[in-house]
Amino acid sequence: MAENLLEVHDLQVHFRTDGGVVRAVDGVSFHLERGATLGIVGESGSGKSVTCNAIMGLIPTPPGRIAGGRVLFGGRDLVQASAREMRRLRGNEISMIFQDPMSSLNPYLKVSRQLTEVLELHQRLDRKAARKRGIEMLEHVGIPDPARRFDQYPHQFSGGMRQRVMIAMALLCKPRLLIADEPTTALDVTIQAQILELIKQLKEDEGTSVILITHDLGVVAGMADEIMVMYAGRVAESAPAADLFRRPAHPYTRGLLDSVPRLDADHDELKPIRGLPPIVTKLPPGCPFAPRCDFASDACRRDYPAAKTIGGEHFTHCHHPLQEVSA
Amino acid sequence: MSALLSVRDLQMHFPVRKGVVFQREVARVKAVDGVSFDIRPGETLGLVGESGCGKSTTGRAILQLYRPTAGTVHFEGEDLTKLSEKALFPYRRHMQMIFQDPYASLNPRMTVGDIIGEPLVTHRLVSDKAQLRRQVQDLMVQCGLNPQYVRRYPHEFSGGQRQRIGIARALATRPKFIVCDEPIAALDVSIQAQIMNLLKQLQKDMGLTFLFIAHDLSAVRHISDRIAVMYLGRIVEVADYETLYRDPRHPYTQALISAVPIPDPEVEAQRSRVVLEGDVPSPLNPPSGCRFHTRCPARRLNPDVADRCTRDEPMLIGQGRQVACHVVERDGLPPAGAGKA
Repeated sequence: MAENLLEVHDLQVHFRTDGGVVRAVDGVSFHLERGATLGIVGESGSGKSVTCNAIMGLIPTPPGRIAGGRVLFGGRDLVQASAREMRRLRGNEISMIFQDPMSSLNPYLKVSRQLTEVLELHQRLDRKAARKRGIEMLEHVGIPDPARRFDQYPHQFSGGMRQRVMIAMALLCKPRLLIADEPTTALDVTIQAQILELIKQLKEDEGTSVILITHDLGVVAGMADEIMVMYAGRVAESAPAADLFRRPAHPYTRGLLDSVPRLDADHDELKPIRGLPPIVTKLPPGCPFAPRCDFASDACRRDYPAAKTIGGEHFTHCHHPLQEVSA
Repeated sequence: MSALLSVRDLQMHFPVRKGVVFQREVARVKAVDGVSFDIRPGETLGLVGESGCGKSTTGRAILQLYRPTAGTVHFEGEDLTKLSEKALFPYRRHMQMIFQDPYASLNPRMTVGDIIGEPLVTHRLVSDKAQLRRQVQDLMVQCGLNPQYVRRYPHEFSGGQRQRIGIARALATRPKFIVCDEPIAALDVSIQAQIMNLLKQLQKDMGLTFLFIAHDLSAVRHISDRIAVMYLGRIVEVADYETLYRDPRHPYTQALISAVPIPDPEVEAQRSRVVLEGDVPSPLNPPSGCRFHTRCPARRLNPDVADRCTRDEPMLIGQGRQVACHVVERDGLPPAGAGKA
């Protein structure tokens, strides 16, 4: 087995709200091999973004706090790391790109300043060298006329180009882990295709490991090696990509697959998941998906199901998995 | 069958003004620039394109929410563009709209009952309060809402439920035609299918005609009978949903379809992808000739027509299935359905 770059064990992230303590992430465990891509799929409120913010040490405290678990990155536990250590890691060894590039770029600063800052801070490059490297990076992510664009402000870039700038910024220090949180959700499909192609290419060139957070099953299908499906702060199912699509074991995964129209399929009736998305302050005891699940039994409403192995790296938290469980 | 709605050479230009006192018009955004299509009764026409292509503006110009710069919109034979606001009023009843953002399109200070009932009152379709209450409750049931919630406010509902409220409001006047402007784009994946199924069911029950505007090609293909593809204010291809997917002819349609990810790793691994270069140009200053020529892969492969592409605007050619492309025009267009697998 290849070496794990990242291991997350039993992560718990709680937020204190007026409605009580929200367990935004509740016992999430996974690992990411060097050079691999993990897709995290879930709907709003599933805890997929909070999980990654916790890895980055970006949980606002208070109201949030990491209530338990370990995040091992290259052997170090990031939950225990000091603020100073985290600052050294962020942008250097772990980088993140976000859904909305406009709100993640500083509108008052030229792109040049935002790109060179990282290099001067982490790599101790001088102005001139940082500038050269910055322009190279813009070219690398496919921005035409990079030397001129370098001294422009974010608003002078289109949505797709801004996302390229974000990616350039994230990759400047050749991070070992890139976390992409819905990187293409705000973009048009033809631009989405460009950006996904770019991430794939950079991954091949640099050997970066990637965590791709998305609600779009199509996006992970083409990008991820492993996929983890989250629901209401918990892992519903985790499997190698091909397995997950061919043999989904959790009724929620099955439901998601049945409810999205496919461009290559006929006008069949979609089978929606009934009911409403969970309200994170009012989760039921037992399995959070039980109120919407066609297979729910008394056990589901009472106890949260332990992980069951379907085979190999494929496991699910379900009392009544749709696939046979291996011993 | 004659068309319920017939749009011809529709143009919607927005002036860009400069100056404080004398607002000089310095430019025009040609959001919609010569769009023509028909929608038959009971049909769903899908209108797809990327942001800024003019698809939403087309929908609004049809409903006369914007008064078009030029062109005609015939609804049951009457040209709406010629009517005054007052003369339009009786038509509004028959043409409704469902909006994208279920958070922004419902008045937060009105109860659900008032929101759904307002069109009934405005158009004087009910004679007394009891009748109003009954109709509102019927509409709620029809749209999958619990009628006991009639006195609640929009913020008490989830996104999917709010979209149901918006749909109930649109249905209140028993319209014939509804413009659905990205009705599922703001919803969670598991809720999108619920809303699409609801729209299909309502169409069947009430004989509705839809213009379904969306950027999500998979959703549009799922719900539409025919699909029109827009690029920078023009329609580049129209075909029935099957033909458009199996055998797209316009290079932009081809790129668009190949860019849509399919939730199946095995299919994804085998697909070849046309990745377009560059961004959509600004509608303030669209490219000359064919607006797609700056990004068109087919133009590069066909140097003999390349000059025409930069010079002449291609017209939609063909019957039933239509394409606006010089390369396709040169090679001839196969009849609709010929490319079926």
